[in-house]
Amino acid sequence: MAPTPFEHGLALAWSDGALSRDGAIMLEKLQSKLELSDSERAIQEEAWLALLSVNERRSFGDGDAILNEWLTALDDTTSLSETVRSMGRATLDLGLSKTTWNEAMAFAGGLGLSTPLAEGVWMEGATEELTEWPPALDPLAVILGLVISVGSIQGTDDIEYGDGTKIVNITHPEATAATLSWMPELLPLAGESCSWGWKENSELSSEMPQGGLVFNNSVILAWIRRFVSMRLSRGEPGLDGLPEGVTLMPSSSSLEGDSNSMTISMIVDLGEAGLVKPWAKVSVDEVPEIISAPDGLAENWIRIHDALAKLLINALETLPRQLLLASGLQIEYANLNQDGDWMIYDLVG
Amino acid sequence: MIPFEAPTEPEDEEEIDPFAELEIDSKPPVQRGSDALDALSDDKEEEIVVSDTEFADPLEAFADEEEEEDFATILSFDDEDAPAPTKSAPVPKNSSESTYRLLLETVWIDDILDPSEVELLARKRDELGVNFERHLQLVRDIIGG
Repeated sequence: MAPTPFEHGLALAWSDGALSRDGAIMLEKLQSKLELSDSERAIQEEAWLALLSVNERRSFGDGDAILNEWLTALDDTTSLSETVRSMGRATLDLGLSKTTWNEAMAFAGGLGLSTPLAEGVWMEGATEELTEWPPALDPLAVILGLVISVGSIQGTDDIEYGDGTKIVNITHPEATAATLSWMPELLPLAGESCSWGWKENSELSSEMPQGGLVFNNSVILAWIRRFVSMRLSRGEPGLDGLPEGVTLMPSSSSLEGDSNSMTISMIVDLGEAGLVKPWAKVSVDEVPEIISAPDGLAENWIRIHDALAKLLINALETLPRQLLLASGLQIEYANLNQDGDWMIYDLVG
Repeated sequence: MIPFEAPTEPEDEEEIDPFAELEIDSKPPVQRGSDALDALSDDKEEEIVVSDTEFADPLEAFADEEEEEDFATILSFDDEDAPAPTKSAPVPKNSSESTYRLLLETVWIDDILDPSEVELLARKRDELGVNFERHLQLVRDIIGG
């Protein structure tokens, strides 16, 4: 867990192993600047001091000078905002995880700099390229992974290769299959330039067709199940427009394709009223589009129908991007086509 | 074999395929001469609420044999016998926003945010009229923090 700004101030104040009177006064100033309540400060300070060994004391407290420098630097919020925005943009190039995002936002928020950080990360407006940052922002740089220390360099993880049937294929000279953190059961295939297959082999009803990016419907289904399960794990309804008390069963989802459309279905549990299987159809011809719900449906079902269709369209639009990113390609895709149980996209650029 | 929790088709689905049995794709309800769901959903006066549940099957009052109904049977939602959720769905969210949210949920599915994903989201915010403040609220909703 990354330190809070106040913990960083404590570390500076105690950096020589003791806290001077001036240092204590500056911690008061820092508390005020960070708008910390006494109880919030007490929690952080007690936890931090518990880790401080009394044996480390070696002077009468010169850390106040370092803390003072930091506090003075933090007053220059205009300049810091610009730098933090650039730091946000720079960390994106390294790959920003959810944990890092949360920790960095918490730290920057303590300094009143969460907005420029978020703007930098999410490319809201232009940012200058990051060349350097003031020492006052060192803790944030560490959290964002912008400070590369030798100890933090990790070796390449061993990749687990599969030898199953080809389920995903990307035809591009620069594409390389990597392990998919978001779908660990789909393994890069040994001996193939850029292909993945299920860990547990599966029988396919038809051979994989040719194309820039081709994948089997089973991948879409797994993606949708994971997506819905993630929503449920967050305590959210799995689908927009789901009435209270209606329970989705993501593992029951299925896909059926015909010549130019796909139908997604998923069982919902209505409690004592029983199980019902809503479905939705999406046309698959270059661009996926919703096909209207059948006539005569109750309004609640229509909403569920539309939400299911949206879920499928979203999968058809975003899954290719994730696969291309995993292959190391930064290119676009277009012209979705369906061939039996296979989705085919052209690679553009 | 499909990963994640369950095989492609649950066992009960293998026994009963409501799509095949009901010929949904080729025969919409109106063509079968049935539009029961409309009648059921509008006929509030005759609706019977099952105690301790949020849902009721309005046909229960008219069909004695319903007591012996096998709840393992899975009906398609456009089947004339299919019950409908009786509790109102939440007020629909702004459609553009819900589209944006779906997209936002997927970009962090691999736990790493990538510049091309962020560029796409920035473009979509403009297209769909989602302001940055709302975007940050959605991020908080999705990943916490």
